[in-house]
Amino acid sequence: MIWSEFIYFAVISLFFWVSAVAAIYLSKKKTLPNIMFLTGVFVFSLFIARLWLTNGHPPLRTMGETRLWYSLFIVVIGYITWLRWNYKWLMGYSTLVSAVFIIINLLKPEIHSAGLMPALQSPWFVPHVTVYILSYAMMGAATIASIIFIAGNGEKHKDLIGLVDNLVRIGLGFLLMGMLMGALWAKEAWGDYWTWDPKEVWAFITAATYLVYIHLRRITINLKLLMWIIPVAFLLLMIAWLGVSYLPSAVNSIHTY
Amino acid sequence: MEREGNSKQKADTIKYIIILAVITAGVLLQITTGQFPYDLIGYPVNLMIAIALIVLASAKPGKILTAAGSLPVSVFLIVLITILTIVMGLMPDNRLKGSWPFALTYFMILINLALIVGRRVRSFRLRDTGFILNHAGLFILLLSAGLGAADSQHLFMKIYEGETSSSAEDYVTGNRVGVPFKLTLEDFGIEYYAPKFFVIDTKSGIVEQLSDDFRQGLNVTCDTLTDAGYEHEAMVRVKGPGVDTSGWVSSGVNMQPGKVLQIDRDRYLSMGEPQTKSFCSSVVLINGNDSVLKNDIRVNHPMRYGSWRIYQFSYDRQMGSHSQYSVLELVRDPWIIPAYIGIFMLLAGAVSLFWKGGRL
Repeated sequence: MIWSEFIYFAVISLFFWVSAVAAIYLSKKKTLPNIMFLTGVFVFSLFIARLWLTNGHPPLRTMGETRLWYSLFIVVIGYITWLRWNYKWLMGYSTLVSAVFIIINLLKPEIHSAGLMPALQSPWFVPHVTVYILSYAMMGAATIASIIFIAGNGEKHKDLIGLVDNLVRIGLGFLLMGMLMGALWAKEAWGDYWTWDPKEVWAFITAATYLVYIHLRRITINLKLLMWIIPVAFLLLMIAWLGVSYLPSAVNSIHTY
Repeated sequence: MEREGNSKQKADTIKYIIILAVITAGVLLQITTGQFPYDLIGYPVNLMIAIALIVLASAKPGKILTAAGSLPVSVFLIVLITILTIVMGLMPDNRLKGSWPFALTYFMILINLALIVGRRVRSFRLRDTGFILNHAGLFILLLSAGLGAADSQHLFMKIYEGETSSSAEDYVTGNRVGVPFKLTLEDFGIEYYAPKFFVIDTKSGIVEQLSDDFRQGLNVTCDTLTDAGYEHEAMVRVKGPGVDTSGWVSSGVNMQPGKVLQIDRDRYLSMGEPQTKSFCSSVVLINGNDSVLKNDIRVNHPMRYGSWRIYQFSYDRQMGSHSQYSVLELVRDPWIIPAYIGIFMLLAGAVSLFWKGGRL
């Protein structure tokens, strides 16, 4: 069984990724974290490639297999974001989320054989979920920064505005990618790319609220009042992510699980 | 100076008053005439509106159009559609999406977007690429998803194995509608993942699931798997130290327990309900020119024919994989190509949003 070898690949990859995060904080140069990180990716991809070859089809048919892709994608996108924007915490975060998926795969090996239901057997499944997880992280960070800004006062926090602007745009980029990939997937699976399913309704509300911030930012002078939009938008994001299942409108949603 | 400022402020508030007046008119229309007459904007009306919007976008705007395509109006309209959508999200049904206020807000957003895109395209600089991808992409997608979707058809075809059909039932009206091709269902089938087996020890009262890592020294092979009348049944052979037996086990249904197989004095083998791997309709499509297309339609793998897509929708649930028929969903959306163009422009725009961040 190839899955019994997973623990070796997983431990080696995680070792390299955790060391890369440590190196980011400790070393001034980017060379060491780059090497560490890419080695981890190589080792992890090696396992996926082996699984692919042994299966004879892309490993996307069981829950365990999709978690493998999450583990890889989330660190890769976290890494690209770090390269572009230098957010060290994001590398730590994506490594942590990746580790959680890896540990689930190690602790619940019987789930490997549990198959995906037909609707989830799509190449869109993994990227759709991965970009959302990253979007939540960016928006969460933006919310913390906005609350510090609202609570504090004076020139000291001026640079927080720039940070919030940046995080919201990056987060919205991920959020929109998630929605659009979901739309492409829905067209293949259900015949329509948009049906105002409750999850879609709340995702729309969330994205629109962040759009209000981005547009209002260019005309409003009262920054403190404007900053209130960010925590409100995050609350709406939480409803879209976790709360939808509890709403009366969600009875027939395709997203309740 | 002061007087000019005053009149400017007045002009500012007039925009919002006009938008609110449109919405109020929408509410009144809703009360007096009911839902927005969606079928009236089907082809060619939607195409004419689309052309009118593009002409509007390319025209040199006067005072009114400049105001209609301004940033404050955009913000006001986004807030408005957000509030309406929150109401939709809290209501148990989503009737609001077909209401007059929603439709009118949608049209105002289209006008606003068209004017914004037109203005940016006229004064194009390379660094506007992301802006135009996002705004023009959204305009094209909204146009196809709203106005364009009025031309779409959703039909259901219930078809028996061996039968041929060239008509289907309209989802909205319930009428039977002819389609420009003939479909023959050759076979419908369901595939299952291998079922899970459990060993019940009646002496200790322990139930344990068998897996690759945990087999209690038993080797269970499953020969036949059937699923008539909701219940899954399997012919299994169990081998192990001092054990060599075979027989039928079943998963049970609702309150009724399934069959178990006695392995030795105290132990019994039982079966869990297997999960569905795929639903598959093998069909043959014959078009007007008598050319023949064969396809296996599965969930996530619709069949394409022109602007039609054919989806696996349902089957006879009582019969499971022995279902004699399959229900296919036939969807025609002539605006799907522009919708995809809009989606891919927005995807590229989202990447530029990520790449550029707050540095504008």
